[in-house]
Amino acid sequence: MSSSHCEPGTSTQITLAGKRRFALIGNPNSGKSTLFNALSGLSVKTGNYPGVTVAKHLGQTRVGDSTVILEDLPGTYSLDAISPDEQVVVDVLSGVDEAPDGIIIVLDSTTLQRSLGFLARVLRHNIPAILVLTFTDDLQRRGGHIDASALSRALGIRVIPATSGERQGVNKIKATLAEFGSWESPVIAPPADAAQLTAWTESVLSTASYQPPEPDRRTAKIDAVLLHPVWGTLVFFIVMFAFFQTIFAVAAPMQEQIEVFFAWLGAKADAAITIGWLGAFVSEALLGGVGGVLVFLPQIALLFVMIAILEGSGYMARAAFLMDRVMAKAGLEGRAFVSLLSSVACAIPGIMATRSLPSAKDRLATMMAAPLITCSARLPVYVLLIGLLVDPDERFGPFNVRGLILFGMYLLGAVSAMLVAAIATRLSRRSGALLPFYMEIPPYQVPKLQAVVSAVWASAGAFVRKVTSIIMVTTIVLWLLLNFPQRSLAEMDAAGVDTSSETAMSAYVLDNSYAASVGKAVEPVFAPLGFDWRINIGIVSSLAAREVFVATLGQVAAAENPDEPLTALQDMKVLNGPDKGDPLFSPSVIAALLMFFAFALQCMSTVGVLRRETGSWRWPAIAFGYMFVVAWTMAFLAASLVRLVT
Amino acid sequence: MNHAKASLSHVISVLSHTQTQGRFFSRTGRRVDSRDTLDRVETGRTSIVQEIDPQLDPTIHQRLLDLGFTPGTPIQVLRAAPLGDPRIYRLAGYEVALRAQQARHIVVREDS
Ligand SMILES: Nc1nc2c(ncn2[C@@H]2O[C@H](COP(=O)(O)OP(=O)(O)OP(=O)(O)O)[C@@H](O)[C@H]2O)c(=O)[nH]1
Ligand SMILES: [Mg+2]
Repeated sequence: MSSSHCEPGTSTQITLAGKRRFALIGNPNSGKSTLFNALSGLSVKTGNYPGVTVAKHLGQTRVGDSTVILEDLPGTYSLDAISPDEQVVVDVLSGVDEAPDGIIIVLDSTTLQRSLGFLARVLRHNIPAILVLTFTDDLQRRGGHIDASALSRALGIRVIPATSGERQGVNKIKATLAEFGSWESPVIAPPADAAQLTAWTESVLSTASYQPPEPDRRTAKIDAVLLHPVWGTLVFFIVMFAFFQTIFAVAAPMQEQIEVFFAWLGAKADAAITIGWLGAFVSEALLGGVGGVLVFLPQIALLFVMIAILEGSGYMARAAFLMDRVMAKAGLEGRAFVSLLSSVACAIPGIMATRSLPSAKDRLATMMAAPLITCSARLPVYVLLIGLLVDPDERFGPFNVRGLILFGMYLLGAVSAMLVAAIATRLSRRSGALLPFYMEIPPYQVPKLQAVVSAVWASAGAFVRKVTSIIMVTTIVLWLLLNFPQRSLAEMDAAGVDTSSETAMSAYVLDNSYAASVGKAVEPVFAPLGFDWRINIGIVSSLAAREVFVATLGQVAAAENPDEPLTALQDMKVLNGPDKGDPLFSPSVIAALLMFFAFALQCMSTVGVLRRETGSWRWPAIAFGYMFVVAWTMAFLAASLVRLVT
Repeated sequence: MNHAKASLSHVISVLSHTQTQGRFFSRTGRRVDSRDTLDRVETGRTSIVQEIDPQLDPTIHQRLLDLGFTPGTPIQVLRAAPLGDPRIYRLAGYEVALRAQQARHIVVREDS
């Protein structure tokens, strides 16, 4: 498994040797991962839509006095795999992949009429199995009924009801796993023939006195609004709009609190540290740079709260349904939209989610488009740049202008991703999907508080880890590059620097640093956009992670005015050329930067995942190249346009 | 899309209709009315699966069976997406969205 910063993964070390292995197999969205988490104590991603899990996850649990390995698998409706995630399951069952000792079949008790056929086909593989029935709470609420022990007798395997990984059911499963040696198996294998299978299903269900549930009334009522052609669209946009307003209205004050904390820390550090260069290092690199990124934690957390609600409620599947027609225009299907929507958190899970797409062509097109969706790493960059551009209280009618621009940036990302997908499907010569689109629409659920909290906690944790690892390292390296080589007084005298002024001296060091030479080396590329070497160095270093751009600016600002970093940035001046003395962050430069970050693939983790998922360097190279060209062009156009109107 | 062709001109409409019907003279020679495919059932109505187009690709055929579209299953059309396609169907205790392109291969009869 990749352990990218964006995916809260399962990184526990597991020794497999000599332990029993049990695989969780079942239809999508039947609660396998929920059960896996409850059994193993891990927290792999769950969500109320089919196709959340796309790869195998390993965990372990103690049963009786031994430890067993658990495998959480993607869900599938069929053992005739048509997409890579389904193939994982088929490989496990057929032993291509190391076969498990036993399988835990997980079926949603509200959809048994459909899933018994699947169960029959799994049982025909003759691997020892037990059946876990989930969603028994839903079954009961909607007036359905099942007799688990009668079902067990009819099937010839053990049946355990276990709702949402509740302790009672989980303990029962653990006890059953401990008795692996004595699991019963069906006396006669279920039939293979389709017609006989239907009869078999009917007889099993009637033996188990199965009463299917009534349609969920709550879901019907909500869908009458949310899937309504007019109201549904309206609600969607209002909710999105409200969200971006919230990012500034709610998260900004929290951000200020964190800033106050860092300022306090800075003052303490200043007082405590007497070694000159160390003090500068702490206040510039650590507090200004790293701290400058960390202050965006509230915004990141808020974004993930919203994503967790979208995923936990059941709206994702509906979004796919609503967008299928639009996606079809781009040559794709609704499922690809789920992948794009996941990219709002990070392009990496979005790219991984393409594994549930049956068509290789769709997968590739979606992968080329996903990095354009506004990911959480762009959020701090946008918030900072928009903050430089617009006053906090500026309004357009009832709307906060900052929120409005941010909304626009998200819209831009989405629209351009769709365009790229459309172009990619047209260019691709691979054949289309065998089965273009089907999507189970699960009943709505109130997102489980625990799931939301753990999702937000995990992503906040991942953000902090990213800030304290890759961003910190890049920032420190950058600080060194910005402050070295140190110049002697004689050297500065010779260069005509006013050696009585501290500011002039540090400006000289900065302007002649290693970083400056890098920034100046790429100047020909970025000069038409109005960027000077200080911005260039931010862009180059943001290849490590987009947020490093914020850290770089924070560092430069902290060197000038540690108390008011935003003001320091606003006060930065152009150093050379015809515009010398004008503000560096003019509206045209900010517009160019916004465009550049909207389109450029400034993320090496994404490049790595593209390599892994496509199996060659060709596609990541193409993605990086086309996105850079588009980024530069759009930045140039935006800068020119803004210069025209201002 | 048959609908699109039909709106072009009467001639094309007749032609394409004949074609559609031709496709449903199944190998046994039994005539299955092309109106009775799932994509043509009105929203809100329930019909019963009769068979899946036997000429359909075997993988898709199997997938539709695995999704619960087995002969004898009642299917209710719940709602259409804003642009008419796909639609959500309720069957076997759950709801699934399907494009007309696939629903067209599911032959149904009226719920009696
Ligand atoms: N009411 C109820 N909800 C459940 C139960 N089990 C799981 N859920 C919810 O159902 C949704 C799907 O659960 P997951 O564990 O992600 O399902 P999965 O089988 O791993 O799904 P895929 O990975 O997409 O195949 C989540 O929102 C869970 O919170 C249950 O027994 N009852
Ligand atoms: Mg799962």
